[in-house]
Amino acid sequence: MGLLTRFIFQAVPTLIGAVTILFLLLRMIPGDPAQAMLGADATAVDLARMRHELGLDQPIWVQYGLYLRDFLTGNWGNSIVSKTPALDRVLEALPDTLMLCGMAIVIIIGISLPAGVLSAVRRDSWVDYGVSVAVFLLMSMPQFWLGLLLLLVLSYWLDWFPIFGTGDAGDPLSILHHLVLPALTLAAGFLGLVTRLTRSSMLEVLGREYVRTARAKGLREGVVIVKHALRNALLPVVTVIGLTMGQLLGGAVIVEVVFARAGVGTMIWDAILQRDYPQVQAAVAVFAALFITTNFLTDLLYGLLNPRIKI
Amino acid sequence: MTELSRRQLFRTAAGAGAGAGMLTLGLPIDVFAANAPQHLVVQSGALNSLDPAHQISAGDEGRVAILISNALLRYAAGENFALQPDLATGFEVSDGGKTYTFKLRQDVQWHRGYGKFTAKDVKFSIERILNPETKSRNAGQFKDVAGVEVVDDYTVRFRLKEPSAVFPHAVATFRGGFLMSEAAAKAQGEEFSKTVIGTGPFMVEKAVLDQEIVLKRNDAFFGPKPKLEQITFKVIREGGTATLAFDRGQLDLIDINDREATDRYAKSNKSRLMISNVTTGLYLLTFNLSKAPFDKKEVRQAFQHAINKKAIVDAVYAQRGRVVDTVMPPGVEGYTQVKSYDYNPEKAKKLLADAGVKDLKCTLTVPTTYQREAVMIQAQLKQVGITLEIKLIDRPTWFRSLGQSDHDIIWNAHFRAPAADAFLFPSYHSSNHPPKGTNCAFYAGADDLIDKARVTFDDKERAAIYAEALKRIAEDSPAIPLTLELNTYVVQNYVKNLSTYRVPENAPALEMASIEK
Repeated sequence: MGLLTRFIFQAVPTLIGAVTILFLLLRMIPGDPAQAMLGADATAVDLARMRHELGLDQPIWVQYGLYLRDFLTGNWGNSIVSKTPALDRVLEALPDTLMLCGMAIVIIIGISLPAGVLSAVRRDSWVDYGVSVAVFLLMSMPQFWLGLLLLLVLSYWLDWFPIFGTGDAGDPLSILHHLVLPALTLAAGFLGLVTRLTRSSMLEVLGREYVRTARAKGLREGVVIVKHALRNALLPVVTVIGLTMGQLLGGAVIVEVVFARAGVGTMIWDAILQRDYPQVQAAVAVFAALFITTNFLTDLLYGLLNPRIKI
Repeated sequence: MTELSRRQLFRTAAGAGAGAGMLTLGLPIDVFAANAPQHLVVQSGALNSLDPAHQISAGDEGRVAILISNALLRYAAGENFALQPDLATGFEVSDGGKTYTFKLRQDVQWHRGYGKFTAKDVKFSIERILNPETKSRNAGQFKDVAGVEVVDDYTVRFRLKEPSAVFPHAVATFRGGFLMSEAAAKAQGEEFSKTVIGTGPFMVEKAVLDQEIVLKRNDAFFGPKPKLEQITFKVIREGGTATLAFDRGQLDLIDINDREATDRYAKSNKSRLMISNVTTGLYLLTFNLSKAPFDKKEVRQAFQHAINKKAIVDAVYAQRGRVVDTVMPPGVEGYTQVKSYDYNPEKAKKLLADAGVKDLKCTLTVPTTYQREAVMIQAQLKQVGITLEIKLIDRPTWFRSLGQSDHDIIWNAHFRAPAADAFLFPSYHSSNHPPKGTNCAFYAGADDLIDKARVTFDDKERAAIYAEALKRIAEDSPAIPLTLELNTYVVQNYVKNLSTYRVPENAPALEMASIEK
């Protein structure tokens, strides 16, 4: 069975499971789109009319059946609020969110790998303790709070970065400038995890016999660490970074709101507050699909890095 | 924090130098001031729509809509919300109040060359909202309309299903009242409800509703020409982010809705704190009269005496709040100061005892946003022997509860069109008892007056009827009006002429502003 076929056979049921849970969760939160739209003073007549127009007066299993049929045939409906196709809106906003997550990954790799390696090599030194403390601090800060703190220090006091927005479209420098702080905030929660993992994985590998052999051959320490130890230590780290991508998408919701960025995150935020079911469903389904895909790609990458594993 | 940054220092020095130079040349200082870029950047919440058929908030959306569009009538700016001509020059009522004929201005052009505004556009706009295919949220605003007729290019006639003296409010600057261009609708297709074509002092340059709305001055506007050339609304949902951006000079005007920020900006001399002197919203506690012991007037009056509104305002709202005794805000037609129940726990205890109520236990249903107020009320009621249990719910659940009958007492917020009928009919007329409507007090004591006002066409007489209804409601106390929450803004010192507030946006009239750096 081809790789792709297997992927599809795994991905589609997972995706349907995900959207089913979402469908039920959304309908379990009190309030519905009609009420959210018409507000506190809505009369029963207006509410009934609106619910009928939105198909909310049907039994829930009928709604679910219709939704699943439309979902599988690619008709993901219109946003109740904007009246435009929900999927189009998601795809329009997606590049901004992916850029944010991509930048966060770059930051995670750029900071966590060197920090993890350094604290493994200098085990029990002040460097190691310093990294550990920094890691625990970052891991225990709520994202929205850290975001505001970074804004206060780096944007407000030091004036190094813009405070809000996505930057001028068509100006890569401006876009990058606007991207740094949000990506750092998003990455922060995962820096700790990846640093700790790199450290322990490195420690384990550094104790292996082939590392001792490499050293005994008289190789320079740098070569031993990067070529012999790090390459092998990376295996679990790559897996975790791959899985992180999916979690970053979730974190993007808060980060985008705090930094007033365009993206799928703010879209989900607004849509949940408005009980805009089709919009939430489309956005989360796209996130779920991305999540499944990155997991699959992580598996592939894992196989490439470690030829002993066949997938 | 009074130190100047290097950039500001440079700007001030350069400004002073240039100003002094101009003075010596004999030029008026205004010439210099007018050279500052007339571009205002305002914080906004996310908007749902600028289309009159779909917009729902009189606040964020109304604030943009009133710059772009006009209605037949508008609310006077300032503290008295009388209806004034906007695109109509006046109207006549005939057929015993079932026919309204509006004469229209003849000097009004649609934005971007879509031609002259005529009666056809009025008919188109109203019929579009009433058309079920439009799925307009604001169709209810015109539920009394039986038909719209174009008499000639500048005369339009509304036929109503039944006589109504309050109909003019439906065609005022509130939600569906804003008018749209028929020619633009045909030419623009789907783009129509996005890049709204209006007749107002500003036109839509860019509208990404969840990020940014850019308005450019409309030089063909029929009214006074604004000084501002551009107004940009930046969507920032997180208040903390907005205040940081404001302090850094990246925003000119932001909303404030907590006491801490209000106090901080009140002390700052770098910016001005502006508190709106008008509002069309108030908070109340609504009793469920269909449940004992709230069916007894004495019990409800006991609550009036037991609650110290001033303490709540001082603690939660400070200068952003006002104590209110009437069930609608000042400025609305017919508003009158009604009997004020003084804070008097002894009197409250006596009223409860007289009503034979002992050890009362009841529940207050309240959205999480108003938890602080609820806790204070709980403590105050304890003083008179009432045990209040607080039931916290989220906003959409609360909306739903207002149309149901489960509650003992429910936190209520009335943010309405600035019309007495909009405050009284939905909340106090017996035809709106839940589940049909949101008279969740189940009150029926002022039906005669509310009905009579609806068919009283003499303005003074109608206002007197409303005043009487308000007094009767205050006596019966189906609800306890608590506070008016005044919208609060902070503006940079270089933004001038923002002191006129307007309803229903409850915001400063932005088209009058100018930038003088």
